[in-house]
Amino acid sequence: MTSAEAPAIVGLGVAPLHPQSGRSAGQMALQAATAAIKDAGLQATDIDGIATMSRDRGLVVSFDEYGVDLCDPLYLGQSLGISTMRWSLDLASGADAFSAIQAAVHAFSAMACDNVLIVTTMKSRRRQFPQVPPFAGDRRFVAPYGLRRPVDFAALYAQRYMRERRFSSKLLGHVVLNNRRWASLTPGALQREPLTIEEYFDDRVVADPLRRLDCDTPVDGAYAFVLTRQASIPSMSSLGRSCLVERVRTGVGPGHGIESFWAELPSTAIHHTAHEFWEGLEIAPADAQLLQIYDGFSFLVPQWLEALEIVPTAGMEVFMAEHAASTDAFPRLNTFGGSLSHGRAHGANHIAEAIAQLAGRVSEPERATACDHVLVTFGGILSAAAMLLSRG
Amino acid sequence: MMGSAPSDLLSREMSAGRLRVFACDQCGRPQHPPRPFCPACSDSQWHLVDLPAEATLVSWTEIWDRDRSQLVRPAIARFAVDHHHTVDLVGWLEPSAREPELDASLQVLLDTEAQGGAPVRLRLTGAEM
Repeated sequence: MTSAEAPAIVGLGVAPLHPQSGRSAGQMALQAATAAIKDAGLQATDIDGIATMSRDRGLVVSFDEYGVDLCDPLYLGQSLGISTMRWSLDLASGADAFSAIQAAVHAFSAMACDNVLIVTTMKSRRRQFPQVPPFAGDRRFVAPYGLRRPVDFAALYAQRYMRERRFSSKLLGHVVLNNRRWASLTPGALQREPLTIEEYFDDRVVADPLRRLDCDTPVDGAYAFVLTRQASIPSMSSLGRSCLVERVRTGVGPGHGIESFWAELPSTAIHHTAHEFWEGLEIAPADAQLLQIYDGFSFLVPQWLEALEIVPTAGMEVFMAEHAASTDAFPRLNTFGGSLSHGRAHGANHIAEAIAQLAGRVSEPERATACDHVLVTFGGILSAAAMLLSRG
Repeated sequence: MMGSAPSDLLSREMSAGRLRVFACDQCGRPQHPPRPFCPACSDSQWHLVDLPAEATLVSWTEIWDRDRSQLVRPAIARFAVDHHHTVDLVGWLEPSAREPELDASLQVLLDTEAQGGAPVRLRLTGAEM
């Protein structure tokens, strides 16, 4: 796929992140979806494909005055008045919005549809992880030993990774500080208070070597994107050709389920996704002037930077120290605060920041970054995605 | 051998003091946790193999329990089943005066009196208690 043929993201809509909004998933999804369609210069009836990530389905399905507390293509299609839906997808797993974008690109290749609405919704209700026996299936071999929450498993990966690479624990502090520095400049970021490395080290260890500050926090909110075949970019779109999808790759780890996944540790889905990511592109790693790197756990950032050949292992400590110390460090990294400080939006806020930067929509002069290429990633251990967005 | 609840069988074996996992009848690859088909050769017939009493330390973490009254150290241990195959299990890493290191040698103990389905104990070889 060349740039001339690359699909474009032509609309962005957001239901702002909130620690606990009290709003239904459907309500937030519709707010984001209608904003994205308007941003694209389209009518809802122009949408002929919908992709959603209703990952909360099966955990809690509640009802309120706004309807069903989930967000799937049927609900969105009916609510938006979309009469001709020629393609739909509802992801329960995978790389969230990135998998949806990848699937939409394939749908365009198959001429299945022209304008796809992608909506991802977050609800901050905390998932209930089993704390007491009996534990079923694979979990019975790990949960009795205290491995119950995602952070417990992530810590095992982080421990091995940090020690194999001989990284100091200060490296993770610098990841956190970089993100917090940018969050302090970003309206809407949930954690904007300045942070020092001393405060990082004073923070509570949740699962060694990970502290509370190394983990993102759940939020409510929704993001919507309108993706269009390059040939059919709507003339009224305010984004126009400013955000082309040059490449999107997704990958999964070598095992099934986080309980049975140690064999290739510390290799994760990141390495499967990053493998040959740049092959065949006219753009090299050094050409990405802006990096929006997924940081659901802080240690994923150096893993991504290493795997995508952005920063060599030997230079990682210096790279992150420079980024923690100054917003002048290049290339800029997570200019909105990332999941750690902006909020856990499963990478959708990373995509939204990339779009805003490419389109010149970032109004804070300290954050606005002139760029032609932005690298965006998602996930890490079990599923992952990397995407290169370019100005047309 | 892989009945409706192979993990039940493994738990019973552990309770009886036998640390075992399933291995593929066809290619010998050990598989833990149990799976219906061998990921290496797709065979579906399994037998139990004993794990050695020595392993190496793949990784570990320290977690406070919910009321922060107790610090626990789950760890991943790698067992050599034969010259060609290894398999990984989770156990408790026992307290030690020595700092754990990657790939450190472990002595593996089974505590058949353990409550809560967590009988595997991992002791750093040569560590003072």
